[in-house]
Amino acid sequence: MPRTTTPDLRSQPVQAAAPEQLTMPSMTEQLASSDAQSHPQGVDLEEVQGLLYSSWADHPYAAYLFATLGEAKRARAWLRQLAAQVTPATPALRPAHGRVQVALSPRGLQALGVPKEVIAQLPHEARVGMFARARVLGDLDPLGFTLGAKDELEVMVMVYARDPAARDELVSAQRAALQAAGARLLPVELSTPLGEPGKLEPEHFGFADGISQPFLRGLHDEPRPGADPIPAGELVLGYPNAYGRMPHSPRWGDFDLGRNGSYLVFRKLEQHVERFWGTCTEQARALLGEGAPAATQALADKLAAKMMGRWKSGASLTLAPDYDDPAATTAERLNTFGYLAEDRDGLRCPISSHVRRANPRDARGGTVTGSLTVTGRHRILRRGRSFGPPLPEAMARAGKGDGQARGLYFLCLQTSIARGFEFIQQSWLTNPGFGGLYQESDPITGPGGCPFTIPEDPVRLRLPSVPPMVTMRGGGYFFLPSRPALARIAEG
Amino acid sequence: MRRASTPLTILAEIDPELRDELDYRLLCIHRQVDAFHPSQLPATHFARFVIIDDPTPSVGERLPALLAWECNHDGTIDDYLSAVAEHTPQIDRVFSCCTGYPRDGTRNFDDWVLWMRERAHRSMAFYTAYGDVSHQQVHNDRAVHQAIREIIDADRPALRVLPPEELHRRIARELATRYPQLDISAQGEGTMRWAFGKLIAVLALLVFLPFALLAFVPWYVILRRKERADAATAGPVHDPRNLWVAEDHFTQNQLTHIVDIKPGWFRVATLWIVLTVIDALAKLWYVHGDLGGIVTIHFARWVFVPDRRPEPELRRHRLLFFSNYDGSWENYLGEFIDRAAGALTAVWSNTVGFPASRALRGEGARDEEGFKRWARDCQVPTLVWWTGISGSTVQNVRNDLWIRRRISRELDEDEARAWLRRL
Ligand code: HEM
Repeated sequence: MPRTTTPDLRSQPVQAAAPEQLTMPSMTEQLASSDAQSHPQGVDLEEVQGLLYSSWADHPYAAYLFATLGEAKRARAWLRQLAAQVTPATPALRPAHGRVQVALSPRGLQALGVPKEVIAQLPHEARVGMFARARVLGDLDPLGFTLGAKDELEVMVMVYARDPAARDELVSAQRAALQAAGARLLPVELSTPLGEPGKLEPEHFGFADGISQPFLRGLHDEPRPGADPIPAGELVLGYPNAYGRMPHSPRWGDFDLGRNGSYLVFRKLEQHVERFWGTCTEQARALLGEGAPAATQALADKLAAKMMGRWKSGASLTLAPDYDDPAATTAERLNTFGYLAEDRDGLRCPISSHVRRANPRDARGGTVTGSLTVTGRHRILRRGRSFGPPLPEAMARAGKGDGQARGLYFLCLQTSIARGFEFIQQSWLTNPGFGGLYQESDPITGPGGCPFTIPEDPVRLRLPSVPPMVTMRGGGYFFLPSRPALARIAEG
Repeated sequence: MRRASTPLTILAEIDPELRDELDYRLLCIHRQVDAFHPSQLPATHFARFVIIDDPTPSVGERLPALLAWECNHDGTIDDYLSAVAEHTPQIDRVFSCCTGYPRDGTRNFDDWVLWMRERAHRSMAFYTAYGDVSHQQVHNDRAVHQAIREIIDADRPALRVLPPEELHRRIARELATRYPQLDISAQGEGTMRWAFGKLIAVLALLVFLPFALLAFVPWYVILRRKERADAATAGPVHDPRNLWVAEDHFTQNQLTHIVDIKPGWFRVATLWIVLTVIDALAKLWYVHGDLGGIVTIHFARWVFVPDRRPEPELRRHRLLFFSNYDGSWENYLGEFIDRAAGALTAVWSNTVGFPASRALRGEGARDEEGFKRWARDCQVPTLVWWTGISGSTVQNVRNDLWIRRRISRELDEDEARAWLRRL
């Protein structure tokens, strides 16, 4: 699939450690020309953690380590040596391979000895934690979380490697360091390796993911078509946000602790792949009657696409309403569409579909520009990876599982969790009254047990009760400090 | 014409001796273990009870604690109070904790109504998404839409092959035969209704205009001078009293907010003008559930809470705000900022701590974090809150109404298609 140069390196072939060299000249040019005047939004690439810049798609093997810290002095010594390894965004400062990022929860900061009055300046929702916010987020069973139910996620170390051996090495080194510092480790969370380089990565239901991302001028090199630029302050603290204001940043005395940092949301979402495809097949059969397996499969695919809001290839339903049309997956068309003019009533892309809820674009009410201004204030940078082995398609369609857990490590970055992740999750994805709907939630991420309406002429199709396709297994809210902030915290 | 959705705001001074008793009683009501519950109130859309304290007065003594009863009901206030006294005498359990409450409560009907009326506060500005829909109508229309859903779901394969007009007729027929108890008439929602009011408002504006023009320059100069001297709250958005715990339990949400008006007559006068204009707009123009792009507010009101203490320099008049809205606090505040920042700044820049504002419309609520922080600072926990239309958003209510009014009409093909798309 043709793709333009993008900061998300997964579109580049892997063999070249070259992607970085490739982007280097433009980067340096940009840096050279970016004095504060000409690039008021230029973000300090040396200070920000690289995850803000790239999803490290050229490092297909990822692992997330969570730990509860021990005694403060030893924890600070651990952070000091880790801070030196944290990968910045600046290409020239990155090692040839291996990426390390670190995020700290408010509890983690406290354990490291950061004073209370500094922690008090962190966002309210981060301080109370994801577990406490369960009701707001529509998480039905927080006590069943395997991660974060005991407020135990104090540090999150993310490692990315080019091959499994390198990943294992990174993981054991990080684990040993944490253990030596007296931290209590949780089981490692290993991601599913990314597939073919240069292709959009499918999530477990089989849909291309990572298509629509906000674009940050001054941090990301070249916008892809349809990647809408957002102000730096939406993703990185220390710069004006979408309201033209400086987002509040925690200060430690004279030191701006937040500057060039961000807030990270992590959620382990188990996907019930056999239930998803089983439901679609079952519904298709109910509509068509027995027999005609090809037609049933085609309709099941369509129902699945209606729930997601895109076809498996990533083609938008607004551009390709009837079938998965490759013509709608060119770089120029993949993400360049709106809903208002083309599809106000959702006859193509249902109003309740995941992608339309997650970003209603120009159809959030009022004029196109008015709506885009509003939706532009709720953008997040998604950096998730999958976990668990893929389920073979034939089994999925037959509604048969293999007893293995699989899903999405949802991970996103923003400067306001309340206005970013929480807003999207609560006010758009889960909200039963979203867009004038009646008591229905996102069929993909919602709590399930509610209807799903597929607008059609002359009369809508309504699946009376869609089961939960995803179960939340836990997670947390973290601060993703800049490199100088990490050094400051380690200093104590 | 029957008046729908009238606001009632009762503010009664709490007897300090009985304060604990009241706290406890409200908690029991909230937990539904009291003989009184707001669901027993006759034809009520929303109701709440709130205690308004004055914990940290900026000057002088604390003001006495007030018990606020807010609700939205059909018909006139007198009819409503009579109905309450008759059907819900248990309300005595709440108000008997207030000073001067008639000894026999609701049994002493005349005194009771008088006592309530004395404590009823006019809304300086009141917005409702359904000034034209009665409580009963809302429930009827919701049931009608539900019935249509059942008709379609039961027989969709046969129905979807019909031409739209025919399909519409078929549904109307089925409704009439299978659900005879439902009202499927086209009544309700007159657009002519507001024309006369609009005319009066425009005339009033014309009469007022020359005076306004004369006063504008001195008013503006004073305003800017004051604005430059005002102090605003600062810091990250926070929620020190964990108000969020009482939010997001239903499709709808509540907000109670009280703040001191900046001292002096100038701010009170300015506020009065602003709220009068907003009230007129809300009553005459924004009458169909869409407040300039905000489609999530069921009822909202501003109430002036005067301070009648003898020393004028110590008086702190307050501005009370109640809202019943759809969705999350974050969404509500966000919509305020995105779509109504100017109007809100015009109101609340006259109150203490509001983010720095320019000429009554600039900045202010556009300071997103500052505005949200300030809003949380002035928010009061809503101790008892009840919704009579749980599960319905404003958009649902308006859509149900729209659908019901077009059932018994003859629709052409395009109209029928548009109608069917709304189901
Ligand atoms: C297991 C759960 C989930 C799955 C399988 C999933 C899948 C997808 C897919 C296939 C896309 C389309 C590709 C793209 O536009 O990049 C997408 C888009 C998106 N998702 Fe999810 N998602 C999940 C959970 C979430 C959650 C929890 C959130 C946030 C609260 C979220 C937010 C978004 C956003 C913001 C977009 C982009 C929409 C746009 O800009 O058009 N997703 N998701």
